[in-house]
Amino acid sequence: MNLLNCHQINELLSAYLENELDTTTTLTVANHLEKCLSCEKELKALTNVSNLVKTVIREADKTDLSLVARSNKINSLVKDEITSKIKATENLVLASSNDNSIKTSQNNIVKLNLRPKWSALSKKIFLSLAASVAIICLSLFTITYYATSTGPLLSGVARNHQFCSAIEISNIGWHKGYPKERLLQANNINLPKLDTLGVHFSDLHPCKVYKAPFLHMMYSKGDKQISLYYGSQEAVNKFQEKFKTITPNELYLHQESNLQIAAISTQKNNLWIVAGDLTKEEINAITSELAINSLSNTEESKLFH
Amino acid sequence: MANDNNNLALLSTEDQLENFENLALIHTQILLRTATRMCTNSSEADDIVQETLLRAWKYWHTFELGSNCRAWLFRIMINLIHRRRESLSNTAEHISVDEPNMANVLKFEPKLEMDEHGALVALNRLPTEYRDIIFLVLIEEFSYKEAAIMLNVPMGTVMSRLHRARQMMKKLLCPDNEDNEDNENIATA
Repeated sequence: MNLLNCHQINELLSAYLENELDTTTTLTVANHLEKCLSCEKELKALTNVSNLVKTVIREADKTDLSLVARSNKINSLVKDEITSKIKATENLVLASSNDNSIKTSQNNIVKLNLRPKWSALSKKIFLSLAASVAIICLSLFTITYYATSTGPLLSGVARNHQFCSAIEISNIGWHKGYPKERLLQANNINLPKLDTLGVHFSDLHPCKVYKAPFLHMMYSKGDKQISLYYGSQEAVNKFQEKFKTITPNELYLHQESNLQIAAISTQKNNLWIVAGDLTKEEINAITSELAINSLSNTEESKLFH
Repeated sequence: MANDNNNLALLSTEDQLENFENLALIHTQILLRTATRMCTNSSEADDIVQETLLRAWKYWHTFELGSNCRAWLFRIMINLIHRRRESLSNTAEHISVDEPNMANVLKFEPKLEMDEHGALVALNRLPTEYRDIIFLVLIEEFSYKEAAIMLNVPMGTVMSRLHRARQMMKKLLCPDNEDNEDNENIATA
């Protein structure tokens, strides 16, 4: 720092006045000031300003007589506050003196540890359990609510439900042990007996086909799964709306489920649907049996014409 | 690492309180004096000092005996004052710290006399940050390092702020003595 111009020296003058510069810089500034009248003048001006400010403020402090009274009042308030805090702490210590969580060291420093250590862990466990329950509930609700097709959602447990929306896990839907007799009674039908055709009944449950309520009766013939669906007036209306051109007792390939289906009407205001990998002969045999076993007055209605 | 003899945390509460009274509460008047200058009114200054002392008591066990208690208390107080200013800054206009505009300070102001009244008026016209540095370094005579710690700024900032504060004061009080401003003569050491 051998060469400094006046501007650079001016920047250092404040620190020079407060003796905040290192020895080398102090010497540099001092040497410059010896040779430069303008910088020396600047230093004097700054010194005068500083002295004036100091004098003015210190004089103002002397005339402010309220300072002593205010500081005494503050000290008094602070002491009271601190004393009351100490007393409160001591009372807390006395009140909990039998508590094992209070530890007193040799230096008479009281450490309070009133909260049990496992509280944080139990809080985490509680939150984890709550989160798990919430996730399970949400999953069940989602599966139940959106189970419009059993293919993707419940294919593992309901291979026979490609055509309908089996609600197997809901209280309002079908599950193992649901009284079958009650379901048949509610729909005012008898269970079709197809044993003579080698088709054996396995189970039944309430379901929905295109949002219309049906009763799904599951049968099997060897490895082949056969389903009978029974629907009342509401189902008829919905189904008629969906399949306007369907003809009773004719086999159709249901595009969505890739199942062969046939629609049969035994009465004017109800509907039977047979679904499965069927032949025309099997359909005819089943419809004949249905006509025998189902309610009387079987007729091919003009439902689908 | 504090020496055990200087560790207040190892003392009993009664001893700590006695130490606090002897070391901290004796500075109340000095704190109040500076707080009154730095705050908008005396009531606010009283609150700040009381809060400073209560906070100091709260952390008294961390104070190292033998270190500068006045500087420690000032640091707490300046911190509180800055927080209070920040909370008020949404409603009050203030001059930027980083880019102080001297023209804003000097513009449209009548010339002041180089006397006590002029000095007080000039001081009040300075931006807050410059006034603070004058109070801490010129009046309370804290070192640049101590002021830098209190204000949480580098030491270079303290030096430049104080220089600019002095320049502003000089220009407010002696507006005719500006002939050396652009003198670029190189002096040799």
